[in-house]
Amino acid sequence: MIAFLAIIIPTCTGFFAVFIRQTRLREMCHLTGSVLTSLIILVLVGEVAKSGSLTSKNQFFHIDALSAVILIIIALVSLTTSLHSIGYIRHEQQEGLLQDRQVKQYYMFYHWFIATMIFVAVVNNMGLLWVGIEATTIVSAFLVAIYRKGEALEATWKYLMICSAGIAFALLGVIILYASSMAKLGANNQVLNWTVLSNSHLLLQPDLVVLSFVFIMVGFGTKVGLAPMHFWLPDAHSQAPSPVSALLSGVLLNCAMLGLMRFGIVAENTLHGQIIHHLFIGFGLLSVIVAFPFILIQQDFKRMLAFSTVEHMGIIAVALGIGGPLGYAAALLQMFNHSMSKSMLFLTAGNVNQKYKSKQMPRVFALLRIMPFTGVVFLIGTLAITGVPPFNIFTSEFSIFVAGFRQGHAVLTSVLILFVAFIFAAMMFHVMKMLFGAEAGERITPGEVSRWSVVPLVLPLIFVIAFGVYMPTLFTQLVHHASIILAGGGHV
Amino acid sequence: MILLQALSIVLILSTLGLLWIKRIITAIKILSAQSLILGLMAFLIAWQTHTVDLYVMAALTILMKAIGIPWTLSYTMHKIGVARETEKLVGREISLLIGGGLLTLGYIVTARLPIAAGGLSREYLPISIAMLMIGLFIMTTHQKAIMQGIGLIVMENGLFLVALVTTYGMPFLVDIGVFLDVFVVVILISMLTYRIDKTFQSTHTENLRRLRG
Repeated sequence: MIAFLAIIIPTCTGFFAVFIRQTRLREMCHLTGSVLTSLIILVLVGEVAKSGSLTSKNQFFHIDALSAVILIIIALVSLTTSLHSIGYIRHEQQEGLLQDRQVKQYYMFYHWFIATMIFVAVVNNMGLLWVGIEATTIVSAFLVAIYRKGEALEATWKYLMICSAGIAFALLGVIILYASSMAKLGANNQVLNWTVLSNSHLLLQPDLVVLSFVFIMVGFGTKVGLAPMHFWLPDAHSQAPSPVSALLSGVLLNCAMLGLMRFGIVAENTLHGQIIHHLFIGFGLLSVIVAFPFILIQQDFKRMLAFSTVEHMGIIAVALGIGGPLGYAAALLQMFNHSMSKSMLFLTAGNVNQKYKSKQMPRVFALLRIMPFTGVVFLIGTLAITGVPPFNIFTSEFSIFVAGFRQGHAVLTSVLILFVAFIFAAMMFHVMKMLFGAEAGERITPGEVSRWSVVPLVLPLIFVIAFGVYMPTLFTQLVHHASIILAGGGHV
Repeated sequence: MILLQALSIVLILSTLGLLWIKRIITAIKILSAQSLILGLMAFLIAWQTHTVDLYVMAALTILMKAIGIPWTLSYTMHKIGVARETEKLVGREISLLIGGGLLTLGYIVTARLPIAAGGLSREYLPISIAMLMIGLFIMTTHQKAIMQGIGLIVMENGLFLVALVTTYGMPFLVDIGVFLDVFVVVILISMLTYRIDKTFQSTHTENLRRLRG
C-alpha cells in the first residue's frame, strides 16, 4: 500500500506541474512532491529494516533489503537533485536556454522518471521489472532531449536506440526464463514473480537459464553502462541538464544493476556454477579498463564524470562477481557511496557549467577562487570518487579489494587496483588544472550561481564525509541483509 | 495448422521485403502489414488454445501496431515532407543476401534449443529469431533516423512472436506493459525525427556524429 503511494505521488506531482501556470506555485508543487516522495520511501525503508521484507497481498509489490538499498539511494539523490533543479532551471530560464513550455515538461518528466525508478525497485514480477526499466529509458530520454539542440538530440537518439535494442535482448532472456519456469510450474501469472523464482529449491533447465542470463547480462548491461555497450552513457550524461545527469548516474544505473542482480540470483540458484561470476567479472573489469584512456584524453568535464561512472559500474560488477559475504556487501556499499559522490559531482559540474558557460575543461580555471563553495565540494567529490581516504568510497573500494584477495582472485584484484590508481591520477590531473589553473584572458566575476544550487550539495556531502568514518548500524544491517539475499539466501 | 504456416511465410517475406524497398513510406506500409499478420497469428493461436488473454493481445496488436504506429510514423513523414528515400551502408542486393543468411542462422541456432512448450516453437521460433536479427541489421545499416526506428519495431515484433510461440504470450500485465513501452518509444522516435529534421534539415544520422571520445 505504501509502495503504491510512493509511485502515485511523483506521478501526480508530474501531472500537476504541467497544469500550473505560475512559476512559483509550480516550484512549490515540485518541492512538496519531492519531499513527500522521499519521506514515504524512507518510511518504507524503515519498515523493511524493522520487520524484514514486505509483500503486498496481491503479490504485486515485493520490497526486500535489496530494494531498500536502492530505495534509500532514490530518496536521498532525488531530494538533492529536486532542490538543485530549482536553482538550475531558474538560471537556464533567465539565460533564455529553456522556454516556459520546456520547464513544464522538465518538471513533469522529472517526477515521472522518479516514479518509474521507484516502480523498478518495488515490483515483484520480473517481467514488469523489464517493463519498468524500459520505461525509465523512455521517460529519461525526454529529459535528455530537453534542450532540443543538435548535440542533445544526437545524445537522445543514441540513448534511445542503443538502450532499446540492448534491452530487447534482455526481454528475449526474460521470455526464455519464463518458458523454463513455466515448464516447471505450469502456466499462471505468478511464475515470473521474484518471490517464486528466488526460491533456491526451484530447479529450472540449466541450459535455458544460461542462455537467458547471457541475454539479460547483455541487455541490462547496456543500461548499466558496462563496456563494450557503454557508448550511449557519456553522450546522454553530458548533454542532459545537470540534475538529470546526477539522477541518471546516481540512481538509474543502480536500478538497472538491481535488475541484473535479481536475474543473476535466479540464474545462480539453478546453476551453482562459475559462469555468472565470470560474466560479471569480465564485463566489470573491461569497463574499468576501457574507462581509463577516455578519462585521460577527455576535454569535457561532464564526459569525464560520465566515464568515471562507467568505471564505477565496472567496479560494482566486479565486486558482484567476486561474491562472498564481504564482496556482496562491499558492492552494495560501493553503489550507495558512488551515488552520493557522483550525484554531488554532477551537480557541482552543473554550477561550473552555468558560471563558465562551457563544459570544456581548458576554459575552466581558478575554480576555488571564483566559486569557493562549489570549488571545495568539487575537490572533495573528486577525492572521494577516486578512492582517497578518509572519504566514503575508499571504505567500499578497500573492502572490494580485500574480498578479491580473500576469494583468491589475486591477479584480477591487482589489475583492478592498478587501473583505479591510473584513473585517480588522470582525474586529479584534470581537476587540479580546473581548480587552481591561472586565468586565461577572460574575466569572470567571483560568486556562486544561486543559493538553490549551493545549499542542496550539503546533503550528499554529509554522507560522503561521514560514511568514510562511521556508518549507522541500521544501515549496515540493511546492507548485511541485502548481501544475504545476493548470496542466494532468499527471503530475509 | 495450414493457415498459421501460410501467415508465417508472409511474415518472413515481409521482413525480407523491408531489406529491399527504396522508399520509407513503403517500409511503413510493410511494417503495418507485418503487424497485421502478427495480430492474426496471435488470434489463431488464441483460438486454438482458448486463451482469453491472447485475444486481447491480438486485438491490441492489430489496433496499435498495425494501425496506430504506422499512422504515427507516416504522420511524421508527412510533416517533414514525403517521398524520402532510404539510405544505407549496405546495398540492397547484399542486404537481402544477409537477410537470407540471418534466416538460416535462425534455424541453426534454434535447432538445439530444448524449449518444449507446445509444438509451435519448433516451427516458428526460427522465424522470430530471424526477425529479431534482421531488425537489428536494419537498425545498424540504415542511416535515416526513422528507418532505424522501424528496425527497432521489427525487433519488438520478433520478440512478440518469440513469446507467442514459446509461452503463448507473457503474463498479461507484462504484455500490456511491453505494448505501452513500444508505443511510447514510437511517439518518441517520431518526435525526435521531427526535431532532428528541423535542426539539421535532414534526418540523415551522418549529422549525429559530433559526440565522440
